Amino acid sequence: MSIHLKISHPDKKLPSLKTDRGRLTWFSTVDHKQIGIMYLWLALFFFIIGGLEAMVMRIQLTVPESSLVAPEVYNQIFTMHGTTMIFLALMPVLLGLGVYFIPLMIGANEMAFPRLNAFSFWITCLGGILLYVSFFTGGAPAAGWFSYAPLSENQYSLTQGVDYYVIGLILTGMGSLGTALNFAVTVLTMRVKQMKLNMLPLFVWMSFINAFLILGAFPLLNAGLVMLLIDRQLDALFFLPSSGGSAILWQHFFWSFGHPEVYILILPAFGIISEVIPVYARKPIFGYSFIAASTVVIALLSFGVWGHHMFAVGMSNTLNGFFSAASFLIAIPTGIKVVNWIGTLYKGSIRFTTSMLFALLFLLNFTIGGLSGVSFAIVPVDWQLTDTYYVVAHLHYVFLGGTAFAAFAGIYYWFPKITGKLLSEKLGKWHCWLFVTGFNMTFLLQHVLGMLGMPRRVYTYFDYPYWAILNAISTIGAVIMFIAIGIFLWNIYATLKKAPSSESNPWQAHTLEWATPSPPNLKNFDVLPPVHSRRPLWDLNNPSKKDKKLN
Amino acid sequence: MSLKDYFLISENWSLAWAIVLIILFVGYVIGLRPGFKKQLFMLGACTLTYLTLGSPLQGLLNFGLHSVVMLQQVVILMVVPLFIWAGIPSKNCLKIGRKLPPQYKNALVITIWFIGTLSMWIAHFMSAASLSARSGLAICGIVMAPNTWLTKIPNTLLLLVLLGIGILFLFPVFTKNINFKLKPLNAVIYLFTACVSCSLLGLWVAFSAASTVVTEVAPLLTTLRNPLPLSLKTDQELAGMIMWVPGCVLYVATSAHIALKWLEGEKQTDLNIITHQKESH
Amino acid sequence: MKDKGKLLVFFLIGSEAFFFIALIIAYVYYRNFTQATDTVAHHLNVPRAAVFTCCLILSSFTLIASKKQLFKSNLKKFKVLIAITILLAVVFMAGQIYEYIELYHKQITISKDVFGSSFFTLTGFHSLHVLIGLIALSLLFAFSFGNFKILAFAGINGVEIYWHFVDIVWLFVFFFVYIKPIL
Repeated sequence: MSIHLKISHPDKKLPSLKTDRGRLTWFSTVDHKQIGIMYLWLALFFFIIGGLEAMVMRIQLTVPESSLVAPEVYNQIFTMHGTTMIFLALMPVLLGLGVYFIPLMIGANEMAFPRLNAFSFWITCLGGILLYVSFFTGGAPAAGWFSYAPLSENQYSLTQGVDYYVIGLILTGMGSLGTALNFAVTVLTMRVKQMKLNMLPLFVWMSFINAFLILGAFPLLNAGLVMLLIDRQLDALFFLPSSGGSAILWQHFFWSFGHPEVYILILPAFGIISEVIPVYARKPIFGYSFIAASTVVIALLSFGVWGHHMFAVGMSNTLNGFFSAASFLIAIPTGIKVVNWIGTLYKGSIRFTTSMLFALLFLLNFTIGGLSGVSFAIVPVDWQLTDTYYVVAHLHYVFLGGTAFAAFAGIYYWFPKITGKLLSEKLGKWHCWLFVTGFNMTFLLQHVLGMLGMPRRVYTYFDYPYWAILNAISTIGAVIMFIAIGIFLWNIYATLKKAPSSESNPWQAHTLEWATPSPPNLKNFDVLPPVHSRRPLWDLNNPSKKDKKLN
Repeated sequence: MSLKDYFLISENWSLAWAIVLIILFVGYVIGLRPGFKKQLFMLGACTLTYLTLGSPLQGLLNFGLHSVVMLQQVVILMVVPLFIWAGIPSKNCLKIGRKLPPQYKNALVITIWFIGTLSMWIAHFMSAASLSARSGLAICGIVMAPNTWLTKIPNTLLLLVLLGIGILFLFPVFTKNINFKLKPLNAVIYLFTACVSCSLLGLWVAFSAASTVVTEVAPLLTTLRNPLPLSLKTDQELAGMIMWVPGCVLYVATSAHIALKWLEGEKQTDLNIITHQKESH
Repeated sequence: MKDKGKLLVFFLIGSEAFFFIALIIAYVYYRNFTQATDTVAHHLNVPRAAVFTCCLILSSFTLIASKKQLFKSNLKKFKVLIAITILLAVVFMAGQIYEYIELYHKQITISKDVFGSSFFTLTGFHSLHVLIGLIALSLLFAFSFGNFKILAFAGINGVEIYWHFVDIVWLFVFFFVYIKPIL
């Protein structure tokens, strides 16, 4: 007796909403492609909600001494904006693209554990729902996305918002852990036989290394969250300084998760960029082994630099110094990657599709974010700028200018594969340029605003010199971004209404997922092309100019 | 006297160790006939060993400096073995461990891992106890009576044993013997898990510095005639951070090197050496 | 290794190891890094806890033995040995619960002070992991009776690795919570 199900027919199509009982199958599916699509919809949904929260914040901050939004409400809005964007928008979009494409890119027909895959998705959904239920039960969490103790403890956070935050994050964390386990085991055991581990497409490699980062970092968060929950619900004393506990311990636990978390959010983005740029530059990636090896370095070092989020809490100069030195060091592998991507562009024949535009703008904007980050590694600079809008500018340049741009690049690149329809290039370019303009308008000047001293997480501010005008410009930029996302949503809607038209490899891309029909059938591959290099489809289509044989 | 003067006094530098290490290095060059790059690594290993065992650093130990103990142990346990392995020519690497039966690979690797990580913990406890006995202070919560048998163990012996263990620890990573060489990703995990173990102790040492009561009571004891004036708290924090940050960075660099070579597909050379050896016998 | 289930459990226990390291760090922090004196440690009955520790260690050995019997298709011996494993685990859990009740009667609770909090959290999460292992072991035992014997074969490798992990974590917890205070 076997415990596995057989797929009846190799040409069986994915269930669509239009076929009989199509909708119900989406709830029970264990097919990685459907789950991937659901992750992407989840991410889009929460991205819109998080974006609306951001709009409320920006409108409130447009003029000094504004009383549009009450301070208690504002605190909830910025907490939920951060938590939503990180855990419910960025993580799902990256994990979702991975869930969809990792099996396809390694020539497998499924993930290693399909039911774990489905479980991870649905528990992430549950976590998101629980987090937002808090709005209706007395108030959302209002202690910041990092919920510092003792503000997050019972005596200062009187509503149940923080409890929903804790439980919501534990659930989404379980989802991420499940997906990470799946990624790691899938890549190690389900590759097509000819594909050795050092021949992986870079998106797969980055997601693979990322899986280990998730496995190492999320337990640290869970430990802290659990202790906070026990503090709040069972009156324990972990983080209450007045009763012998330690509020700093929360910070240590949170940031020893939090720093690997930011690398968790950027490594798959690096992977997407490493797929997109070679395809649209019509060249193989420059320095594959350096990009892949530097990813390993980033993953290992990321566990050792969390102290740089805590330079202002009063640790001694000795401790701060070591964390500072390690933080400088960790900038190096990322720099190596940027050099390699530019090297890929050099002497390439570049097609300026929307996806490529986002990738190129990623290079520029993420580098700005990276540079502002390295400036923080200088401890005295950090002391001046910590908790100001300079930090807000930095984190948006790396999260938006980095992860989100890469996610957009990936979506425009892979949309024809997922749906069989090409997103409109015209609308795409409007989306791209409006979004980038709005983004830089909002956040570039916030570096200056931070240096002028405006603190973070304040619901309004006094009319100090230049603060008002800089905030006003930021808000205009936010409105432009809002319009750009509207165009993006319209693009998706209009494209989905069209009939499927795309061929299997509209971009003449190199990796295995493009060897399937668009969209792929339920069974990904009936027959696989031969895999002897890192670009199997290039070898297939250019037999006279094959890549070096690697296996 | 200032630190600079202390290091410039020639009596503080050991002539005996210099002679021993020069003889060892010359013997290595004549006996093994290595290439230039490997000679550089071995020279680095010898220099670092000399700096650890024969330089004024040894003398600084008398002032009860925890950070000096740590620096010595990190260099001799983590850095020097790396350089030594990098300096051994490939054909000699092959000969090491050739007679070991291949089916014990997993057991051997795990045993060696435990010996390596435990030795770091044990060595630290021993030297902390010894330091506490000699200086009368509580080091990391360890308090020792002044005449325990621990103080009779010469620091040099401890460091030499550590050197041996360090070399043994890196055997599964650097051996060219295909039966015992760890696969590249496994080697990275092997090194990383050792780093975690080492970091835990280092973090303990560093973060407990702020809370030991003795700090407040005797902040100046280590500064009398000490050319390196550090308060007890700073000394302990420095010790803790030295334990894990430099060593782990070096292991990460080693992992990067392993990953790079593997990604560029260097597996062929290992196999060639094996087949060549088989044929010549 | 190509066994998907085994790899999964290895990565899972690696991840859980980080979780327990964090909880142990919290425990060690409150004992050694603050000026407060531990109020819980001297109330703990170390010899009794040592007996229960031995039960848990023994259960690991009986599980290894039961796996050997299963793969030799001696189903009867497998069932006996795994029943012994489950029994030993239940004894361990009973010991933990008894200890908790005893401490509660001495007014040592999770909210008494920071030592109570960290003791109960650390041992509590370990007990939770033992419980999950117990359920898994019981499922293996149950499957060996019906028509789903193949599930027992499929699951025992993973459950065994998980159980050894739970055992090893307990050794660390036992050392830090029970042994170290009396050293």
